[in-house]
Amino acid sequence: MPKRRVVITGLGVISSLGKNSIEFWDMLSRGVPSIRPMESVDRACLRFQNAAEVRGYRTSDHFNEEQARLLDKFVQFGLVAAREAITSSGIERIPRLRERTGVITGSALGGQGMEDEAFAELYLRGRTRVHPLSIPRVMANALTSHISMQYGFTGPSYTVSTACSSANHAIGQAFWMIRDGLIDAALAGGSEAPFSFGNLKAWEAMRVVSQDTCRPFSKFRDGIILGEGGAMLVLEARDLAVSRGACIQGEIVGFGMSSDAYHITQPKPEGAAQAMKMALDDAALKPEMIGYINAHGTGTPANDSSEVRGIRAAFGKHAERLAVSSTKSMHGHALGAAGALEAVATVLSLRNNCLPPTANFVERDPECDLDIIPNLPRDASCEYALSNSFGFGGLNAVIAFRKGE
Amino acid sequence: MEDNKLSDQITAKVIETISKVKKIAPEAIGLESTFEELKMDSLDGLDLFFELEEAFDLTIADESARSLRNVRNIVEEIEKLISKRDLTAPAQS
Repeated sequence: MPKRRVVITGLGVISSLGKNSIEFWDMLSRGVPSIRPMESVDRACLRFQNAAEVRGYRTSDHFNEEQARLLDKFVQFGLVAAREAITSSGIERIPRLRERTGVITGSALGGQGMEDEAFAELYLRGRTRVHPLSIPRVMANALTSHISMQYGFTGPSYTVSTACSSANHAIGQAFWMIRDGLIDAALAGGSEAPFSFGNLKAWEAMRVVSQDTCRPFSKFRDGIILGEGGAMLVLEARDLAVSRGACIQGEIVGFGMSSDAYHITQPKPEGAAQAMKMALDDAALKPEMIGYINAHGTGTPANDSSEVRGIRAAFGKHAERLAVSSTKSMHGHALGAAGALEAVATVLSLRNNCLPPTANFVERDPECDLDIIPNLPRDASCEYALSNSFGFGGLNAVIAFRKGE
Repeated sequence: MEDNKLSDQITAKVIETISKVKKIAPEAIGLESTFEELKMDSLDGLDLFFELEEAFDLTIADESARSLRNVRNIVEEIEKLISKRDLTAPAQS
């Protein structure tokens, strides 16, 4: 059976840049970062102060009390994004598709916000029992299950947890399942809600969070800025999408993944290069056909220089002609949701002929000497783009996108 | 004299902590030993700073931690943080 083409017919986002994909793109396309002093926790107890939070988020704007009691914030973010993606695609109105639709989500942390609260009851307040819904609230697959229950999607569904590559692994595997005919459609993406006190203290101890802001590829970069949110994509076999007259936002043409087999936190350029090459091979693309890379670009000294070496290894001379930017400079690093936010950013960049910049850039770093679109967005028409995700533990996932027709 | 005594104590504690983190004999660690010579990677560094913060009850800033390269640097950083803390601590009544 010939491999099928897989298109994107719905997008949904909630992030620090906005509560839907229109607000998200409006900020990205103007190069406006949303990194500010944290409001959700007491900053006096932390060594870092800034983050990319979803400001003004109220659970009651999206869920009634009955629903909310079961939903950790990471599930809420994923459901809000899924709702926008599904509504914009129109896919829920096709009953025959339900059995042939899977839900694949990514999350690095799962419901650790509610876990933090539940365990604080035991450890701090001397309670002898935790809430009986703690397990279904906290489980990492809760988002997948809630989406499939709400919309009646009964196809193959699961959750991937590969640290900061989680969402790219989820989207990539959903793409492969549709391309190979296992399913016809999928909800794929990721969500994360990392702003619980215990988790923030753990990031503080890792010493990788910037005291200031996220400056990927720039001299004086000093770490990540944590972000939160969710993004979901409706993926669909192209022939079905065309036959029902769906609006095609973009296309996924390849997926590659690799493991560094090297270090639990330090990146290795060869691992990143291997995943990028695999994505190009999977898409049957030559390196010169790629115009833009939405980089992993975390803003740590180690990641960014390693990623640049990986891009050079994968692209050779064409690396000089690539446009590369990190939108984490604007929406922060949303961990397991990062790849999903960046997938939406990449699809909209191709669609709108506008490449979002790497914000907060101050000075060129000779170790990151690629065209990284500093500070200002760029009008440019590209046919193909990659989106990179590299997780702690050396797990890499790269998606190749094509502009929608 | 007092300063030297403090410094000796700090040096001994730093060497003891490195010995505990890296599971190497204290005799193998000198003031001029670099992280590289001690075969300490970034995670060993994180572990060491955590143990030192606990042992001396102080906070080593991320920026300072990134600039420390050998045992002498660590001892000097801890001396600096202790003297800063003693200066700002309220007088005992």
